[in-house]
Amino acid sequence: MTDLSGAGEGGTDRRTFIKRAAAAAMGASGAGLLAACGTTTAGGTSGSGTTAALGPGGLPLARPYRPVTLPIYSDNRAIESGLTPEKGPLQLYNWDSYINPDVVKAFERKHGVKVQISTFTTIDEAVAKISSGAVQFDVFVPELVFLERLAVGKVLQPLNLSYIPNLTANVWPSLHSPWYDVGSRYTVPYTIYTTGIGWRADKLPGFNPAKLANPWSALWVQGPKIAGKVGLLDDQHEGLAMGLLHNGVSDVNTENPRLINASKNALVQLVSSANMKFDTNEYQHLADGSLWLHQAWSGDMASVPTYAPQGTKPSVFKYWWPTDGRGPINNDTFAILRGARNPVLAHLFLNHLLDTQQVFKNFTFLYYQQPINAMTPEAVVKGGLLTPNLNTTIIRESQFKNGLVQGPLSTQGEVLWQNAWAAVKSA
Amino acid sequence: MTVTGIGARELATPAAPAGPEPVRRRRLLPAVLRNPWGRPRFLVLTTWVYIAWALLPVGIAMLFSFNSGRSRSVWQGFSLRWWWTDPSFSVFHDPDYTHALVHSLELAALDMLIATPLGVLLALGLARWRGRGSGAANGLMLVPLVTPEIVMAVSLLVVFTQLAIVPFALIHLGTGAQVVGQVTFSLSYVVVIVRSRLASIGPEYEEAARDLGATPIAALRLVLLPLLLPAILASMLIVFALSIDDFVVTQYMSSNASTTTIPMFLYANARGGTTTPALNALATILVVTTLIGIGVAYLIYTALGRRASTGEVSALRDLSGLETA
Amino acid sequence: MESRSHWRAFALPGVVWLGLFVVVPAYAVLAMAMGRVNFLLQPVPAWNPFGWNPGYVSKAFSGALPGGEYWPAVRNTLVYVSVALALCFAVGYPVAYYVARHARRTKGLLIMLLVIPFWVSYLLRMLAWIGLLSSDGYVNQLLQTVGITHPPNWLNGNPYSVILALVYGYIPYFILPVFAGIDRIDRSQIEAARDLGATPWEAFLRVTLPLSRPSIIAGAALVVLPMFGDYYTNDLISASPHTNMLGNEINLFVQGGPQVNLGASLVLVLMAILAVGMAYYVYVTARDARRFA
Repeated sequence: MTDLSGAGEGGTDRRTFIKRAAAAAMGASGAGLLAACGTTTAGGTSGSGTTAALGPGGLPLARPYRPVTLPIYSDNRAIESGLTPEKGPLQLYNWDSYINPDVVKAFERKHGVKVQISTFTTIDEAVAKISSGAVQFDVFVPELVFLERLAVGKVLQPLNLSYIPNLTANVWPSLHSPWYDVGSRYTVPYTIYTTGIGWRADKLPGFNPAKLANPWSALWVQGPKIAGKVGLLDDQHEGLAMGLLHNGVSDVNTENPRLINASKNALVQLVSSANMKFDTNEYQHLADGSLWLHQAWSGDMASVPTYAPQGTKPSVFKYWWPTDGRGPINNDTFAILRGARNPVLAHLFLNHLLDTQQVFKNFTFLYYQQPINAMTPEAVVKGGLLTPNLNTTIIRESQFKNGLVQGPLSTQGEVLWQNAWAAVKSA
Repeated sequence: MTVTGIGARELATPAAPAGPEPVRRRRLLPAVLRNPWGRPRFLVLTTWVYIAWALLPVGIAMLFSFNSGRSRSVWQGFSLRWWWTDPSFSVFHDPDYTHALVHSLELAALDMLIATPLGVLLALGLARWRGRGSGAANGLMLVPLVTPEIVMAVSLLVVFTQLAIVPFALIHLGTGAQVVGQVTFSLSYVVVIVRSRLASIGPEYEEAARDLGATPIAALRLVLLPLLLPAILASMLIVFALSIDDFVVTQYMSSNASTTTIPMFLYANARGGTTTPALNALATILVVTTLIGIGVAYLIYTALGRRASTGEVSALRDLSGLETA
Repeated sequence: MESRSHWRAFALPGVVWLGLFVVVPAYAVLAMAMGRVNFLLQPVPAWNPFGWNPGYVSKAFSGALPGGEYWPAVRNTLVYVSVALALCFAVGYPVAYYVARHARRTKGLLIMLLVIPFWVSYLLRMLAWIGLLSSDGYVNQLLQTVGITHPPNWLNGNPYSVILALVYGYIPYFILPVFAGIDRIDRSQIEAARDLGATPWEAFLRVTLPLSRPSIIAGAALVVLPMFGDYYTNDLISASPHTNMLGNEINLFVQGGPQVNLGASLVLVLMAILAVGMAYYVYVTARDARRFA
């Protein structure tokens, strides 16, 4: 991003950056920009009900059945092959504690450089900072929902995959050219994690969502019997997706106001019948027994035993996610920022993250799975990294292919989802 | 005009200090009934119960730094893992933590050094100026108190990254922006506290000094500032505390790893359960460091105070905001 | 008046600071409320009033009225903060009074003890409470040993727990200024009242309490105003929508997503609600300044 960083110092160009990004999007895609960048009107709920075909930047909204090739711009190209790595320090911009420090140290030793990790707490904070040009980082961890926006805004730089042989060597074949980034032009996969149902078998003997006609109704069936002991992830997308699945809707990226509204109503009803809590500390609450039944992320569930008091057997913690894979999945990625000062080193870092040994090392800290061929439930349990009854927190590629992956929404869709979620949160 | 605390008390009870004591003791029971405030049984109880209530969790938080598991609220056995034995994640093996500690203290010191004088001057100005605009400035000063932190953080971020005019374009994310953000919200605390103190002091002392020929500045320095000292010290403590525990504004104003503070580690767990009791160890270090800092300041203060005056002023009390003069 | 100018000069740096870093960001909040978001979902403030889009602001204000979608949060906020303030006074005043007037040799120690909680992260202290208050935590075990067979479920989305947590979090900001205020009351005034025949109670009510009023108002301002925007306490201690406060609504919209302008509009609602209290503070401090000056 030489042109940008050069100008960015003066400050004048920060403000114009967004405008330029929007103009670039216009150039790339022509029509559709209004639909994507249009101002959201007051209330926002006046959506017509038709699913927007075009998403951010005029690209189609990426879906497994509608793969998207992110555009490459003439003024934002990948680096050449075969360059010598820079001296660093490599600047990583990441969620707090979202990588094992030992994995980073291994990279530092291997390449004789320093890695500095800076953290953000909301994706919006991160996007605000990097898109304004106010900060300089090399490597970033974009969510899929922001990926198209960031690529079209030229916030990311295209990858040169010749530096990242581990992508094809180690990663699940279905992610060599994923639907959200055909050809892996901008990203390599980081963790994938499922969103299922966690519970305490000792507090709920005989309970298992798998026994229900619709397992996703577990909170509605069991919740009222144990009111006050039930939790939902305090996450707009996860929460409403649970309501959708309870209602039998498997499109967890829908922009249909009727379906979103029905999900909202189901959750509002659950708030009062089960006195439901909203938090993202399910690992803590299940571990200490303050909650017994909680919508949960697979990685958090895998780590629950390490939070349990002495005397609590790891076998009391259970996690259900459909064996056929028809359940919610998140797929985080790593990418290189356009402003990177160490682009070669950044590529090597991405490759390092996909090294099988590093992936296992990362798991011992994160408890989140990476989509690596070697990382099967059996391998993880056999390595002593996971208690056997929680092997459901690791999925196989065959399940992943059926998964309901969280994708981007149009801006108007985001408004629909947020208003529904706000109504649930103040029910 | 400055009298020591003990001196003031003696002055204030001129009627035979030794005499009334036995008399009061005889009337103990009715006195308690008529005056639960005067003979402070109820007060003693309230105070100590309150202190237990306030301190118990501090002790527990420190204790959890010795937890053997990853939980910060469930006891899993004793270990030194998070202090020392864990080679990767313990406090003393993670240079990021020590760096964050230093940066936290740095910010707290800068915040204190800027916000306190700025706030004291503003309070003095607002209290005595009373011209056009002072009411507006007084109301304005409350706005940071009212603004939820996340809103202040987002609006400052917008201002610093989108307004390309001086002085905003000169303030870059990082230490500079962090100090500006922290000073902005701590300023209000200083002004509110110092103003309330000014209101109860009244102008008489100052006027007396002026009548005796002191210049306004001399009257301020010799009379008003000593009288304001408890409020100024209380403000400094509050500013320090605000800075040391601030998370949202400091986070949003941060630029990169070099501007990470301890609260940023403490509060960030957006992506699941990877935080550990090493953070409790870190908080413990912070408390101990602070106490040592105060202790050293106290020693310096007493050393200077002994040389400067022979009064029996309790330096500790002065220092902690408490009683002077 | 020759002194007028130097007082104004004292205020100048602070006023400039407020202008730059309070007025401008406050205007940015207004401009965000009246603005839009771009395709990166970032707020684009409408700096120019001619470009204002008041839709979100009117949505926020109408929603905050009784019956509106934000009314439960507004109501909870008003109730919780009022009760919490009353408790801060009921607990904080006696403590400040005792330490200021009665503690002798223990005074320095007490002050240290009052200040220490300030230096430990609020989050860690809250986590400690959560451990203590959990259904089989030490607090309930203690209650059971003293014969209370059905101890309350403290963390059950219980408004009382939220209020207690608010008091716990903010009361140090009340005690310190009130202490500084009471500590400086001239004892001779109280003795004078006693000499004139006032009972200790009367002396307290007629002398000490009125003289400490500026510090009570200061302490109240320091706890009430931030409590109105607090969301973290509620998230930690209740996590239930039943105890949602206005700060939680604001946080939901401001921290991310496509409607930062709605969050900013709700801040305007908050300011409007507090404008009465702030005006009262400005009025009272101005009057005190006039009376004492």
